[in-house]
Amino acid sequence: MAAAERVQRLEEAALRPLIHTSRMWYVWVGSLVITIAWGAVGYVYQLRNGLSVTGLGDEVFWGFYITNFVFFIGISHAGTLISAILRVTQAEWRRPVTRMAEVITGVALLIGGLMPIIDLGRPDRIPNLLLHGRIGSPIIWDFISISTYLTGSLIYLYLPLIPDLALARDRLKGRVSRFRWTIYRVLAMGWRDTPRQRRRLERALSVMMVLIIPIAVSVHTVVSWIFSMTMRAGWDSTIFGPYFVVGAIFSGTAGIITVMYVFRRVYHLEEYITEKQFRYLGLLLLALGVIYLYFTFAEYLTTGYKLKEGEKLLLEELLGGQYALLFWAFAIPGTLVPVVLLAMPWTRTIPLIVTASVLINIGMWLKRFVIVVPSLGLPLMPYEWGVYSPTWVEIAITAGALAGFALIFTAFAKLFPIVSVWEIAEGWEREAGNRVGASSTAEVTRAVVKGAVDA
Amino acid sequence: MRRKTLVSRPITVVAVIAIVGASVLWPLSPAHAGMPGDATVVVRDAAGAATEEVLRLRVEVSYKGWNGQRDFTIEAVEGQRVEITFVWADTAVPDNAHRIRIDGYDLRTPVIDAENREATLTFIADKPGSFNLSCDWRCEGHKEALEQARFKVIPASGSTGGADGSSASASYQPTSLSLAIVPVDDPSGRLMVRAALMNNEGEPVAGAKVHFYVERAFAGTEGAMEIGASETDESGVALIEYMPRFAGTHVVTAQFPGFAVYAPSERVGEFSVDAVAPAYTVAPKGLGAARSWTPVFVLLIVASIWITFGFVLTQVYLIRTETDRD
Repeated sequence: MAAAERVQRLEEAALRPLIHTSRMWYVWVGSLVITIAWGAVGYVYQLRNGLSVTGLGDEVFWGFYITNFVFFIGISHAGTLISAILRVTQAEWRRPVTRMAEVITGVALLIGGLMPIIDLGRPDRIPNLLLHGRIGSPIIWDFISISTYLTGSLIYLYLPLIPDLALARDRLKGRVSRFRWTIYRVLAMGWRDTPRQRRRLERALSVMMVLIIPIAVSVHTVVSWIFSMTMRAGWDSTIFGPYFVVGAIFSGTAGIITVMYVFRRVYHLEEYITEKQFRYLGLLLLALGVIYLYFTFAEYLTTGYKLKEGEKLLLEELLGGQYALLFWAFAIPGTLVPVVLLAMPWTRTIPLIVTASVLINIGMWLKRFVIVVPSLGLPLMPYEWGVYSPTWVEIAITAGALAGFALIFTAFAKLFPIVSVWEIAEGWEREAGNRVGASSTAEVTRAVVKGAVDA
Repeated sequence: MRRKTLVSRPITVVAVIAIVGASVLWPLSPAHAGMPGDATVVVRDAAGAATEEVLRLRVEVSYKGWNGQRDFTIEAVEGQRVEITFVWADTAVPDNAHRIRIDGYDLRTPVIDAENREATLTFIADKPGSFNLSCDWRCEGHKEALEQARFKVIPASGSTGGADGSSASASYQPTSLSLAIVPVDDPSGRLMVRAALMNNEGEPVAGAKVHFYVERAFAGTEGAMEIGASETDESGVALIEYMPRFAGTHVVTAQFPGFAVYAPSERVGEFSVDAVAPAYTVAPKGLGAARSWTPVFVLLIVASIWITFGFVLTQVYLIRTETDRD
């Protein structure tokens, strides 16, 4: 019965946020809504007055919006790494965090996908992309890969949610509104955890967890090709594909650590999201940080050694000129300091791991800015550097996007279990099955889960 | 025996004849035209008006200048017919050559040198003003000597000292243009547009600039678009090549705006083009097969991914039907 009690406690912890709403939740959501509203006002102002209300111009025509686009697409790789790669490698410690990772992917893609539309200025021209697009254009590749990744991620989020939706259907009837309960019922697809259903689910999951990995790699590679398929100094690089992918997984892992910490604290999930998850993800973050530093070093070393005409000017501005503050803020507190924090065993504690993750996310946003803007500011003819200074419109929309990301996440956690109950229980029963030995795994699982449902 | 006087001596007669003959012939000799000191040449009557309809001059051109002078001015009256013969006189520098130009009238002689010593410009001085007269050939060393001449045309109403304001008024010689358009003998689709300029005596007019236009509509505007210009050769023919850029009827105009003593003329012609070659071709890029097949290959991969999504969603649907079955 101890196992059954454990599962019951897990269910309560997972379903409690769906039932109870604290005052702080309303304050939090209220502040997010206000921020989103500010962003919406900025966007409406931009729609009415044109892109001239932003700091964008004919020289620096990409700024905050495209930086946000690359940043959010990068964050979205968290889900793929944690959920898919660790599932494929059967890393048991992933179970409590897979749901959060999958949600990060979906939400980041939704928010990130809005950024090019906002940057376009004329959203009514979006159909031209489909009606007159050329297959040879990297922007078309971007559109295809991101829409494919978004679809795949939403499917991949939904599949392991089915058993937990069935749990909510069974346990929350009468405790939530009829509308919400109906949604749980419909989305649960009649799940009864029969052997046939489980086989179908596992088959679907097996296919998706393998398929989503190359899709995710292709997405950020294609995003990098928006830049590296040009001949601009700072963008004309052959390693942008893997550089961006590593950077995406790096920032995505930092993102999942931050989210994990927040939900662990807010929803009191300490029993399930343990120090192990933070430590292992911290080590993963360390490895990715080292690899990212290596890529950064290789990129700037080759540029600095050759010092081609435009790249020389760019490097001077990055290392010691008008963009030096941003560049070194990314390099040192944004990457090097977190790597050092994660490398030392005595600093690899939960608070410092989370601190490192936050620094990494800020640093990676700065890095995306330093990739996008200086190369555009570099003059292509003998005249002054292009100047970019974001206006309140861009700042408001960026804040609104971040708030939108947080709000959708908050709403998801309010509507659906933020931890995967059935996967955690499955992990326990595998552990128990290994110890028991004689009983079949399926029998143990059914006994454990049935006991929990009856309770 | 009768004594011979001085007058009756034969030598005296010969000498008198020689003196009289020299006095008569010498002013008419070519060397007399434009003697040093006569830097301005104009033919006027006592009242200052031009007395002749035609101003005829011979000017020696050498490294020393015009008739040996650097400062040199020719004056004519507006409307007067002018015939200036430039004579090569660089006997001391046999390799020198010259080509004389009058700015403003767009007139230029052929090159004069030791072999071709004379060239004549004949035109109507129909534009009043002061125009530069110079040598524009590559003659180093004496370039400055031949840069400071002027050709002045006095306005007809301001004839100096002319009591009655009389002025010479020569008439232009009528001209006619004929136009022929023939395809060039190659598959490019180019055409040869040929205009022949004749005066009213049927003689070819050489060295005249003929402009060619085609009627065209562009961006809501219709008009004559110049497609080229060419100078007539010795046989009075001006040629240009033309590549039609649109199919249909082309209305071509050859126009001679007037030159020297010749009046303007023009001729209009038409021709039809069934099809035109593309205005430009893009050089083929390398790796043609890879470029052609890569999008197909990538789209196949994307399609297979979406088909897989369909398979997965089918599994989700079947989860539901498994419930019904159970």
